Amino acid sequence: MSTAIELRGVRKSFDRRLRSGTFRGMLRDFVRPRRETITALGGIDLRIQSGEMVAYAGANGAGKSTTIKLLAGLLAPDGGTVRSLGVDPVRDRVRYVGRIGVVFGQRTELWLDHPVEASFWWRRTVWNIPDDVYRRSLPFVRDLLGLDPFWNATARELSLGQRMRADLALALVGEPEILFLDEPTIGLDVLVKQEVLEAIRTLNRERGVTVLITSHDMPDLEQLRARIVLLNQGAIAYDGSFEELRRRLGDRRRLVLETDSPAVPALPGATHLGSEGARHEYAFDATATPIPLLLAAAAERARLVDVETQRAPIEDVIADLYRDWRTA
Amino acid sequence: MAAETLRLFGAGARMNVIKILRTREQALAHTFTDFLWHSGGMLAPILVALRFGHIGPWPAAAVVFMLAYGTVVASLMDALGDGPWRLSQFIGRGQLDHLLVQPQPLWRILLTDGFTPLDFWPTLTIGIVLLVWATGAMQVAVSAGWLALLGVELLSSIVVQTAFLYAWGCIAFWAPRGAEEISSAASTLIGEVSFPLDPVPRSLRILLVSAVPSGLLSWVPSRALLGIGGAGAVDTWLTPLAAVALGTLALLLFRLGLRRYRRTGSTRYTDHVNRN
Repeated sequence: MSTAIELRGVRKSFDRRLRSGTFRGMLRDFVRPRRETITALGGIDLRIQSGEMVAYAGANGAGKSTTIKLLAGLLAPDGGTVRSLGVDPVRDRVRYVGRIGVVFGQRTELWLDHPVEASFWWRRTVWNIPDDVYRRSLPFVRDLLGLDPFWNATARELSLGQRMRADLALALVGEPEILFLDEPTIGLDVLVKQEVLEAIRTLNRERGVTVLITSHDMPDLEQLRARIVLLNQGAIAYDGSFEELRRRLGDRRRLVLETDSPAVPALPGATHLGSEGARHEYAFDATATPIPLLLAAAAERARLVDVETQRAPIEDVIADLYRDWRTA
Repeated sequence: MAAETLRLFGAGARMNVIKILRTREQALAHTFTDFLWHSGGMLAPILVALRFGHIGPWPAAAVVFMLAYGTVVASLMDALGDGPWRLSQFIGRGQLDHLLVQPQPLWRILLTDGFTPLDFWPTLTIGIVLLVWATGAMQVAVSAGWLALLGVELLSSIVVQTAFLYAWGCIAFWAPRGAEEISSAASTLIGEVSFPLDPVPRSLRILLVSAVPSGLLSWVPSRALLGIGGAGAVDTWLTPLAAVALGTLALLLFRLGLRRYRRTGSTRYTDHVNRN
């Protein structure tokens, strides 16, 4: 398997001007401007193989979008090297961007006052997509992302979900070797989100397209069953599988007890999260506090009507991780 | 290279046709509003010239020539898309990113993106008809050399206006928060001159052919082409030379700005900081 993307010691920082809200401070800043440097990427190394799917996650400001922009040839690094498909994305921009697809969740590549179909025709022309590729890929992406119901509608009139499906299809119609997706599921309803994620999985599995996807939505990323790279303050804090991540962070679980009274039983090794009448919810680490011991303790302290345990949602696991990083 | 550029002009033309032909009402409104707008703008100076027979040393037919020349320049500028008029918005709103992910050289994208042939032909037609009429009325000896000079002057006027707008629009690379205003303010500044500038004070005339080169969009080239008001070599070569100088300046600023953009990126769509 060949290397599709390689970042070596990549650094990127941005200057921010600081401004006071007081008159005196404003005058001071006018005479002597104050600036601070924000480190978006502090020397990261990352290698992604062809055909791999990588979920790129991190809190706000962690450097996710900056990485996508570096890889799309929109930004140049301050230091280190960025290689994608064997080339420098900035220096070889024209040749390179024809081989990739980029989707920014908050923007659209569609021509808003034109029917969806026209944007595809335009893409084919400007991207110089060969006839055979276009004839092969267009029916595939139309079917994959369900574009037929709004194929001849004006793009401006599409719902957010339809727009995102069309944008994704537009990025795919030239059969790119790498797909960069920056927050593609942002603002989508559950059903459309499922469809988009399923389409991404299909592309990766059946067509071998290398995918790098960023999202804040951890359950979405877990659903892709991708390798996950977690960024924290411009550094890679974790690179591996979701299973391994859960294991490292402990087997975080939820316990829901239904008892015969609203009184909350105190359970050693578990944190009470809240109650609704006689229904009480706890968080605990099953590695430190085995489930049988916890249930035995619960049975001693209250008359149990029903018991339910489940894994903590991945976003809670990650949120804890972000909190740990912030306080570290 | 030329074939590829023409192909993209063709793509722009097709997208323009699709947009305008959305509905019959849209098509009619779109086609005739430009026509009315430009006709209305030219009417006042023509009527003044006809009423008094001349404006300064310019007979009525020469005034029509100048306005027709300006109309041809304006319509061709319109045809060449949004780049010159909206560069600061492209930069400040992050739309430059959309252009940079297209597998084409940036100059070609900026030249062909937004090519709008259906928008400009009514105005261009008015301009050409009036230009031909005024040339006849002024009894200009039309030769191959004169036509070549007309072509050079037209091209130079277009380059001057484009370069002026680009040079100002480039400020957005350093001041993206002014994105909405910079290009539109610059386009207002270099608006077409509706009257011959001969009667205005010398200092103002110099300003209007240098810092704000509105005079190079129709007045100076028309003087050169018609030989009015003692026009000489300076009038003939001023616009082409200004085109070279301003074009070079705009190119330099754009390259510097783009280099900065590669460092800082767009200030839009950032999730943690306004990077300027």
